[in-house]
Amino acid sequence: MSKAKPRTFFRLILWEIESCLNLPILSLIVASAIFAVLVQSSYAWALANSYLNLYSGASTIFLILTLVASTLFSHSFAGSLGRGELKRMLSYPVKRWQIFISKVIALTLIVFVAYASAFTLNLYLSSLSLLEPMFYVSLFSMFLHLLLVCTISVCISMVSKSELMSILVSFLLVLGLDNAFDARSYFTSSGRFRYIFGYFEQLTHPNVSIFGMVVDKPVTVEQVTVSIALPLLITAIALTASFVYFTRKMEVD
Amino acid sequence: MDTLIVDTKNLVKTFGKIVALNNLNLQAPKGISGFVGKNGSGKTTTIGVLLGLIRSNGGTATVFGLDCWRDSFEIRQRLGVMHETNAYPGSFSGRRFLVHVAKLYGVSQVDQTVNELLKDVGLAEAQDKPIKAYSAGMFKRLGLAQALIGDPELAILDEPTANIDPLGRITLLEKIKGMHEKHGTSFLISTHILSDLEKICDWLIIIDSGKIVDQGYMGNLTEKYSASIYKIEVSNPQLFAEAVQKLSAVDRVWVENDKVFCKVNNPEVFSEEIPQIASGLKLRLKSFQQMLGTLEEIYTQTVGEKPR
Repeated sequence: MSKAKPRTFFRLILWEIESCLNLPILSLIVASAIFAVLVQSSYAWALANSYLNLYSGASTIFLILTLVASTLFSHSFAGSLGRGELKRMLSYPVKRWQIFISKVIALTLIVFVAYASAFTLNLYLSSLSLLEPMFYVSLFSMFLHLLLVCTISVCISMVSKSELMSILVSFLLVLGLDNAFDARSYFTSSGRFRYIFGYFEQLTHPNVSIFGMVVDKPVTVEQVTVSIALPLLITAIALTASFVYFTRKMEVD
Repeated sequence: MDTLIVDTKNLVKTFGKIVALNNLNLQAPKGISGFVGKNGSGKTTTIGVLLGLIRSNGGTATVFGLDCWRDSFEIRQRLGVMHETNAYPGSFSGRRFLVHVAKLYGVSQVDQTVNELLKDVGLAEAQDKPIKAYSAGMFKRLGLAQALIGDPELAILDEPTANIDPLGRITLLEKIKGMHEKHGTSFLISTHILSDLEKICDWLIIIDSGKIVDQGYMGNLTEKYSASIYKIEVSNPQLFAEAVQKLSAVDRVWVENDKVFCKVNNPEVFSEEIPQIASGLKLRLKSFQQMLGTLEEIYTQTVGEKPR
């Protein structure tokens, strides 16, 4: 019996990307990303020619990113179960892990590229160089947040098997965490972003006087490590659990 | 019997307290097999188990001699499936979709294969239309094309003719029969439109409440069930049915379209007694004939009611 052709996996990724590009939701993603960036730059205290604009209004970006990512991931996982697409896909000679991983990679890529592209507007709006290191720090924080939302949505999709339920629960869970904890907590997206941004700001812009606007006191290595490690750890655990369930246990009826 | 392609032994599947499959012993040889049963009888669950989409709670299920859950991938390399639901990507054209599926099956000459299939299923003219613009019949034909694209040894079709107009149904059935004759593809067709199966099936499997009621070659089943059924036309069918029911030679009586149907266990005694009963009740015996078996009659006898 021949084994799965290695290219099957990449074909599935391309298929997923192509399917997403044909969705009306894609224009919503792009529009929401641009909107989030524009809202951010319209803050009254936004500073001219300052990298700090990358930080201001991050909550808007994270909020919209949470909504969009949970919608897209829930649509692809729980939605494909409900519509029977997953049943059809699993009737072809493809392995379950290939479907799972290809969906995660393709959707993460689409959302991240859409938001990262829109986020580059900031460079123009704040007259920043493409080499501005804090731009990449912000992108990295967005990516971490995206991974977390992706993981939660996939996990809830597996459990609920309902697209609407998954969107609502994922969104409200992340939003609830952000509101339930103190703004400086590691459990909030803004808290983690604060530490990551503050730490790298110390390294790259040590002499800038507006330092105090981001954090009250210098950020320690431990703080930034936890801020990066926590979402990665949650992602690793929850995504592995979802993966094992999807590939070994899940029944598609 | 030819080599078995599908074989299940004491297959059990429960969903909570609901028993979907209850010691199911299904067998399907090479050829075109019909899989019939009313709604909720366990047809789709059985197909789910055969495809490795659903895990059974007990018993064994094999396709091509391979375990359906453990060797699901190897099985799916050798079969094609058409599900009941039309879950195709609406924004893709029929052709684009089939090209993608062909690549997943590792088809070497993708364009040629897709062109031939589109022509075979009668979708050549609509190949560049987006799938969402397809009619119900076109959906089914696309489903058939994607099930056959990998040149499978077995194609499992779940309700292939549901929601299609009569002409479309005839065309689709002809395609299926043509595919079997041309490529030697075996089919397992799940449906509750019995008249469709009658035209093309070699082997019939009847399921009810998660159990196989009977299975076998169509000719054998027809012979087995039709020999004991009689159709009688009398002036008062209800009165006649009540009287006939009391005969020891009769197992079951039912009235349908003003005709009395009897399942008998002793045809000779039954034939002698019928004219006597009619004259005794002063009824006019219009006709009295042994049934020539149809699939619907076999089904009615085995499952006990007409298919819904």
